[in-house]
Amino acid sequence: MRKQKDEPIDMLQGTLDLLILRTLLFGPIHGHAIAKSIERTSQDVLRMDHGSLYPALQRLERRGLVSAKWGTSENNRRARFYRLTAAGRRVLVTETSKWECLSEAIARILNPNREEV
Amino acid sequence: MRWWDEMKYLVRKLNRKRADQELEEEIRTHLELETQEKIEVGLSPEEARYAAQRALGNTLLIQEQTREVWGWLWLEWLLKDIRYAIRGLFRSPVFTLVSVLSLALAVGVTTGIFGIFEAVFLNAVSARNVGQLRQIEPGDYAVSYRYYQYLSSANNPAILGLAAYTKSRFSFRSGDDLESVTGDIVSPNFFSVLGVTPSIGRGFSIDEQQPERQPQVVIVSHTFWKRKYGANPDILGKVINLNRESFTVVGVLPKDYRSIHGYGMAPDIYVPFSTQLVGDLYDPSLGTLQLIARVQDGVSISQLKLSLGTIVRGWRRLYPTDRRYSDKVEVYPLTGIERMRRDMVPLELTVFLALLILIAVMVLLIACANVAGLLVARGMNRTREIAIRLALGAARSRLIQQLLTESALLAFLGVCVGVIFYLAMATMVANLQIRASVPFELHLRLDRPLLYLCIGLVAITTLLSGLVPALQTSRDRWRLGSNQIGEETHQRAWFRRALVVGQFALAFVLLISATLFLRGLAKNSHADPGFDVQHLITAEVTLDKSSYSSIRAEQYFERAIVEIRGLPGVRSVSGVTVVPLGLERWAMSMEAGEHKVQRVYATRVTPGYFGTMKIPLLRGRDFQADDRANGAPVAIVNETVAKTYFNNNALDSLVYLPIPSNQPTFSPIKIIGVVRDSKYGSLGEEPMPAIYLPVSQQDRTLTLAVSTDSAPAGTLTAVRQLLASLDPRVPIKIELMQERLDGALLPSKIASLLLSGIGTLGLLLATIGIYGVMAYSVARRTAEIGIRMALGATKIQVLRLILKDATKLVCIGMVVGSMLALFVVQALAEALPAGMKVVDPLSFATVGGILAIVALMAAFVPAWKGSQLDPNIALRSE
Repeated sequence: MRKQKDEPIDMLQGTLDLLILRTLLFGPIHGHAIAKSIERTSQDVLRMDHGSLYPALQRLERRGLVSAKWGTSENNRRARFYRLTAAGRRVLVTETSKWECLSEAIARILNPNREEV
Repeated sequence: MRWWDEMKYLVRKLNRKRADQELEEEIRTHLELETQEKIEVGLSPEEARYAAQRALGNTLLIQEQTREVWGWLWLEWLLKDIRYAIRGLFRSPVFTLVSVLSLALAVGVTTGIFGIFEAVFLNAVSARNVGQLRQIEPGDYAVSYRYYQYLSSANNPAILGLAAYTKSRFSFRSGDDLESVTGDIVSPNFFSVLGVTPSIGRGFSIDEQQPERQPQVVIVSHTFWKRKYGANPDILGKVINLNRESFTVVGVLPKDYRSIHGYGMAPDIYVPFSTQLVGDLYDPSLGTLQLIARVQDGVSISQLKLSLGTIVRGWRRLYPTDRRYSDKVEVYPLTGIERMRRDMVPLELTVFLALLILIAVMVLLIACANVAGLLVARGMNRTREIAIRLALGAARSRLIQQLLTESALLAFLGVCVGVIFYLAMATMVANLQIRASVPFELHLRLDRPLLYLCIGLVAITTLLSGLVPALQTSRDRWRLGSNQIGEETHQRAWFRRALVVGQFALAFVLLISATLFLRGLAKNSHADPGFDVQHLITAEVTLDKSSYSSIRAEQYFERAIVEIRGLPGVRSVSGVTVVPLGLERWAMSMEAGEHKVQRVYATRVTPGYFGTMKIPLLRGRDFQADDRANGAPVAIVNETVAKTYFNNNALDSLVYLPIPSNQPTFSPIKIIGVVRDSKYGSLGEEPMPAIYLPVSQQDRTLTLAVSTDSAPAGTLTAVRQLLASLDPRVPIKIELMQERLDGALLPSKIASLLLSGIGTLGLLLATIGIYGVMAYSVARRTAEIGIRMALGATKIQVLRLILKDATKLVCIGMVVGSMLALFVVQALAEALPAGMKVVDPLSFATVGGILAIVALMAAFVPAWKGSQLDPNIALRSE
């Protein structure tokens, strides 16, 4: 269904981590929910490769940005719930501002006549 | 704390099975949830499952990627690098062999020198927890047995154990043979305070404390056991005869036992105190004992001094008449620099050791330069490989890490082989029989400090030999596919040239130092000692105080001299307390006129000594038998004293000496004669002031000098038998003067041997270095040579082209080396015979010549090969 829509965009390298952290801001959720949340929030514009989610989560866990705990999902399944750590929160803040700077700069370059905004 | 969390994470993931299961379960949940969702949207269960699987992608790939996150990436890299390095080293065995051997030789030299330094100086004593042991000198003097008992019973809480010992000499009889052996008379707790247990048998027990106890017991050294009993395990319980008394052997010391005296001195036997040996033990003023204490941890030297002070003052209250002991207490650690300072280790020995360490560093540098040169050359062969890897995105840091792993592996192998060399050397040194008045043994060990040194050496050689090559090799991003005819980048050529120059400079310094010592040795062995050496026998006789009163001792010596004089072939006999050029010295300060002389050699002699030694009497007269009885003390001085302090007018003048030594004042002594200078301390010394005094009644150790008409060896046995017949209990040590002299020359002989060995080694390493560099350079220039020959260059021209390069490097190396050498020899002058010219143009020229010839020979082989190239093949080499 997604694929029939007008050309979903591939995820940029390195942005996945940021999106995961952002998603976790609302409280601990499991992997599937993260994927769904990202897709839904971007209104299905971003194509989420579910497979890359798990290595990314492990990477974040290794860096101490998220912590994980086994729990029960909404339909009674054992699932691993990820939670944002204090370090993760700090990284999220700095990375978000970096990202905003970057996207603003790119936007400015691509649309120079809209500079007065 | 981030790394800590990461560590925790990694440790958790060490359990791969559990981690895999968890991941699998997580993915399964994901798939089920996704399928559920799809079903709710309206797909059939089967379609929904496929869709979920599609959205997730390749499960195996996910697991693979996740595992990568779990991994100890750097560790895996390291293991990979090591595997890679091992393969690489196997692929070029010659390179590996030369590098490892170079490093191993250098490491052998370094560890060997360190081992000697440690055995002789730093950790000279075998004991448990040496840091707790202290040498104690109350009243700045050796103490009596009674004093020792007094201190022991004081129960100072800072002291865990107090032991006493004194050096002595025993006559050991086996069959009909009498032999003088060295031994320590010790308190029974001696070995338990040291914390040493005999390797066979037991230590002394507490009930052996009674000095009158019978039977008497003895513990023997491992060497003595091997030498006298062929290491027979049945030694325990055997009765041996010492000073005509029976002693039961109760133990044998460990093989590598380093005695309390340090400096490699190794007494043969150890016996507990006994009245028979020490004489009147309870005379409070009679003292030769030295004290060691094991102190509580954390008690500083000053605290110990303070707590001992009160006890020492107590002794004065107990024996107010005993004036020998002042209230002063000196405390020293048993090992290390402090002890060296207290024992006044001669300067030349310290200089020599410093020199050895310097040499070790130089050899190590040469070896590192060798390996560095080889690594650079090897790196250039890998230019393409490296360039491709860089182009494919390899990080430079990863490449450097990999190259450094390779040199670390080389260094590790080198150090391992070097340690094998060291152990071989240790076995050799341990079996070395060094003739000296006290047996001398060196036990080189592979102990903790040495292991630390080895680890340090691995690190140092890795960095020294590997860093620059690694940096250079990994730089070549742009070189991919470039044509390589004769283009060596500038920095790299510069580095390799600098290596060759440095090696030759160091080899030059090494060889100059070695020749200097050889010249010193030659000078020494041809030096005239100033007395007759060829026809002399020395017999050291030690009488013990318990059986020889001073009158009986005097009678003994008078009789011995008369009877030996009666032997056939004997020209003259006399007695002397300190034999020149021996290990023992007696020096004191002197006042002569208005001069205060810091150090004058002194010895006591009997009348006729100068005749026996063939030392000419220049003015005045010899001692006479009644000089002693007549009261007014007299002395004979040597020419140097007469010339320096009395303007050649010494006769009947007075000198002032601090004798007898128990009085603080200097007493006047009349000069009755002047004799020609001779050598006293060492053959290399400058003329020294010396004074001769008549033998006193207190002298119980006297060396009889026997001068013979012909070769003295035949008379040796006759003298020995005669002395044994006078009193078989008396320990006697008979030697030829010539042998004594050889012994005196031994240290400088060993030093010269060591230095020339190391010098040759350095030369060998440097030669390998220049050969490698030249061979490589020719290989690099193959195409260039081909072009030159194609354009008409002759073989001779090619040869000259390559040799010119080598000559330039060797010349620069020699200039740098001679400048360095000028510097080093000035420092060496201290350890060399006096009056030797240290900067000798001839040795500089010789060493330079040898180096040049060796270097050019090493360069010639590759150059010749280069000139023999077929231009057709050479041109196609790239």
